[in-house]
Amino acid sequence: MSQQQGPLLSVRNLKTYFYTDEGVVKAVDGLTYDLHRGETMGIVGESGSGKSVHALSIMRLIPSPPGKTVDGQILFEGQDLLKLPEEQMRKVRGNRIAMIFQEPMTSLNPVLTVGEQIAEAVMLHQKLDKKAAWDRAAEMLDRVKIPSAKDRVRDYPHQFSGGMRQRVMIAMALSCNPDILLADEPTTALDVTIQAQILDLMRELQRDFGTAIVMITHNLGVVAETCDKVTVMYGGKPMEQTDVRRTFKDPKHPYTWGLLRSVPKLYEREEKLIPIEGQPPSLIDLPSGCPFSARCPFRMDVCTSTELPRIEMDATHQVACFLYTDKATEQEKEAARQAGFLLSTRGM
Amino acid sequence: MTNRAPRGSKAAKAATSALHTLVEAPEVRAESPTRLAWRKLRRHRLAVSGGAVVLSLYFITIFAEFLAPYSLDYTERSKFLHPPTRIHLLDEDRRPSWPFVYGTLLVDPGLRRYQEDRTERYPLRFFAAGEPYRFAWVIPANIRLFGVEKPGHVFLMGTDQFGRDQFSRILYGGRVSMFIGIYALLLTLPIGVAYGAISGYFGRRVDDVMMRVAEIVMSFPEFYLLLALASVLPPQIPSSQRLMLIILILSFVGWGGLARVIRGMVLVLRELEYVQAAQAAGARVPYLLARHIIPNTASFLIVSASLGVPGAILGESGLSFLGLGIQEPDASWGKLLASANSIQTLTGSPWLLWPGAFIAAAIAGYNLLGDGLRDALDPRSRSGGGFGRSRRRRRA
Amino acid sequence: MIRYVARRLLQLIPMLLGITLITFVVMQLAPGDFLSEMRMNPVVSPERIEQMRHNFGLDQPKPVQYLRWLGGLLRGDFGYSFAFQIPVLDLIGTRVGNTLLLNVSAFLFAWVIAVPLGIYSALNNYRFGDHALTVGALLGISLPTFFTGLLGLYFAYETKWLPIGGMTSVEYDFMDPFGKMADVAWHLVLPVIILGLGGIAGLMRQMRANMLEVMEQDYVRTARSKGLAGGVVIWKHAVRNAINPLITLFGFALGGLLSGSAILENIIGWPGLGNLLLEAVQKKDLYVVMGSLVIGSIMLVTGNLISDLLLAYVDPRVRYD
Ligand SMILES: Nc1ncnc2c1ncn2[C@@H]1O[C@H](COP(=O)(O)OP(=O)(O)O)[C@@H](O)[C@H]1O
Ligand SMILES: [Mg+2]
Repeated sequence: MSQQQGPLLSVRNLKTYFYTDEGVVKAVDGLTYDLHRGETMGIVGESGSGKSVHALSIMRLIPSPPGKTVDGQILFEGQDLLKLPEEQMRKVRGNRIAMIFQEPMTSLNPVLTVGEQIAEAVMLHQKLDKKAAWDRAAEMLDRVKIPSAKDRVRDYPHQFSGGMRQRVMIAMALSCNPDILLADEPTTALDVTIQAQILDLMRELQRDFGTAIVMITHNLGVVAETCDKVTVMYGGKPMEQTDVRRTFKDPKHPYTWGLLRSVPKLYEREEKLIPIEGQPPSLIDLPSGCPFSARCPFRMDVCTSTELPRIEMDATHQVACFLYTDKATEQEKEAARQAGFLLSTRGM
Repeated sequence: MTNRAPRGSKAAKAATSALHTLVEAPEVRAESPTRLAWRKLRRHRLAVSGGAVVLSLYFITIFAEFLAPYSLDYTERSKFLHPPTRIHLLDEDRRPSWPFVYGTLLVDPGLRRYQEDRTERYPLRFFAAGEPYRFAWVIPANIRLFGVEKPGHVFLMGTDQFGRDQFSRILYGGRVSMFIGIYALLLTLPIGVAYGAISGYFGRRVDDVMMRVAEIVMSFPEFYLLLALASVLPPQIPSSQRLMLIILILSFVGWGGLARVIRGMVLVLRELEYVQAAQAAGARVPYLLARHIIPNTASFLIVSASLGVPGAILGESGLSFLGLGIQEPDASWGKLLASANSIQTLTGSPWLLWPGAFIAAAIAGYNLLGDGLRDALDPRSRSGGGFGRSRRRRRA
Repeated sequence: MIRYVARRLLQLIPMLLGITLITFVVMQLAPGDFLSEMRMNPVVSPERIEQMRHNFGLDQPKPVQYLRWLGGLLRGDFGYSFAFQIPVLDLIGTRVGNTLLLNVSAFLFAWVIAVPLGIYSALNNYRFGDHALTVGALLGISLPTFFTGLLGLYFAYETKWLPIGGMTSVEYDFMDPFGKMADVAWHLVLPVIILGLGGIAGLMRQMRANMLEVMEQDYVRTARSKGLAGGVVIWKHAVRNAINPLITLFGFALGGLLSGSAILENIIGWPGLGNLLLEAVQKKDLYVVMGSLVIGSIMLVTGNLISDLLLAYVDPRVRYD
């Protein structure tokens, strides 16, 4: 198996823009990452940083107009999905790459039974007959721990609670045993206790099915719990990419620092949150350079004028920041080093 | 379509999540809602053309005396069911000439066939003295936009079975048709709003009873009820009174649906904090309704007004068409169209269908306008509706 | 479900009482009655008129007249037609059938045309076809039936393609049953198209709006993400959700149709309820007017009930008990 060596999914310089009345929204603007078999990668970033759009780009489900993937490659087992004819792409969707969405309440079709909604994908991709597909649906509902699954296949979505519906979504996504699961904030809409249950379930299923997961979230707690490596996104661009340990222990990007500082510490008596000052930029007609520069305490002149570099700290740690180029003075570098040090001693 | 709206709503939902504390409430570049709506409306090409149609119809009916070559009851008995007069721009030798018409002769009374009499030639005269009229009800005048010298005649849209100029009558009759809608609305709106607001504000038993009554009124097929009510009108009353009664009837039939929607809105509105606060501060009910609740229904009212007028126009036309509305010698478009309601007249004199085209134009104009208004005032529609949006999209 | 239907039917009773009361009051507002015209007629003697007055119960106090009529209603007796000299029910019975035939056909016609057009329009949002249909629909809504009716008649006369009005041909009575059916169907074509036209426009716009909304729903995206083909997504996942709200419009549309058909019946010469009502109104045939109004309202209310039940049938989220 030659593919085993290369990554399962390799996103190269992905750019997806929306052409709206107000201007061009560069929702994803040069995203690059690799995902290997069985791995879980987290994508974190504030709302509007392009996380969902990136996932929909992989599925090629960007609403067009106004959206369009204008550049880049999405190599799945070496094959560029962006070049695949739509018909071939349909064989990938739901079969090789599946997706679950943030809103379990609205992501299921209200007029079809959950069994029908699971079975239709199974019938399509696994070429099973109706009976077998429904059996498979019941089996999947059982796997996601829905009680009396055999009877509940005939129920409609409104007969399930939010957490249960997300289980149905997971069952549906995994029903064809996909290689990759794109999970777009699967727990954001759920209560905290239900969140934990769903995350446990996903971890367990990942073990059993060996699925690689792209875990999109804006919750660093979820990342710490589930991911092997992390891509921090901001303004459609990757800011920092490394493994999960170094994301928390040795972050290099000022934006990552900001994120970590804003996480409440459960054990501290005062739950003081230190927000990053300012607001996420509007992604319309962004100037070149670093999208975070407007809010960055370490901003330098180069940050807004020069194309953002991608610095390889080492083979598994990339940072997009001018602080690690020769554009920064020693003084500036020192200030940054101290800030990073302060953060790491605070401990998670 | 900015990225603000979705972010704002997400932020509210995920207040527990840490990252969201990063996001302060986004600043909103404020444009007053009225200006925004106006801008969106102007970009809505269909609405603009609808509005133009409506305005021009009001214009021609208001200035009917000046624009029409004849008066409302001018009758030329010998020219009954006369087809539209041809206006010639070329003379017999096919040379261009000042526009003129020929006199006509009735050649076949049975089939009502008229023939041009080439020996009689009448040039079209503009701004010439015609039949006298009173401008704005008071000033005596006799200047009309166009006409021909007697005994010539110019019937732009033919004549009816009495020999009256249909074009002129359409212009005069349009007054009834175009204004009745507005008058009916002036009655329907307050009734519907007051009824709905009271019902919704008090809720419970009051609401129950009031809504049952409204439902009963609404459970008649509208036109059936209209017919029954119109049949009650005594035949011998003066036409101004008759007109008022018709308006009354039209509004009686129309208020139910409006009341129901307003009630629904009020039910929601009265739970709002500031309304409750005003209530707690001891505001009186009529004040509360007038000051805090009804203004919030304004955009709905504007839309339903622009869609309610054509309903009333349609109602009056239908009644008059069936002989239950306006009576001779007065005219309205529905009444005028009634002369076409016999297969012999219709097939022999299809120009009698003209008033129908005016009714259709008025209703279409209002519908287009109302549709555009709905788009413009709907906070959910993100940019201008109609054709405007697509063009910009495609260019992008 | 049965209990729900029973309860709905029970709720109809006060509503029908209201309907009859309003109807009665309205008719009493009218100056004079059926007999006032007879009085003008020198051939009819005053004694004869007094006698008819008594027979029709017009000499009783108004509330008594109403209660007598209402009591009759309960026994299925709608009173007596002054003008036709037969029981109102006999008169109305056949007319109701004709009106229903016309309206239901027009309704089906409108749906069959409007739903696909609405879907097409939504899927080609803001392209030429959509614009054309949108403008067409807005104009279509604006054409009153009495105008399109006359245009249709003129068209039928000029082309000789369709019968010019009426419900049957002259030789109808001599036809075999199939011939009769074909004849009526042939006469139905024109009024159904005319009446359906207005309905098409409204339904199409509604379907378009629903479809646009549904296509943006999360579950449609979910369906796509499963790798379903575009057709399956549209027909299985989107259309079913988009059609459901139309069903609640059924009752509303019926009201519009009945109103529209009242005038059309008069123009086309269709022997329906609306036409009868108009004649009765002109002749001040009191009980026929009241009967037609009541029957018309019952049709409308029943239509609403049916649409509610239909909705419960097609939408699993709606349950009545
Ligand atoms: N259909 C769309 N039209 C226009 N802009 C869009 C559309 N979908 C997303 N965007 C924009 O793309 C940006 C990224 O959105 P998204 O990927 O949903 O963010 P998130 O990281 O919260 O998932 C946002 O600024 C959003 O406004
Ligand atoms: Mg998202």
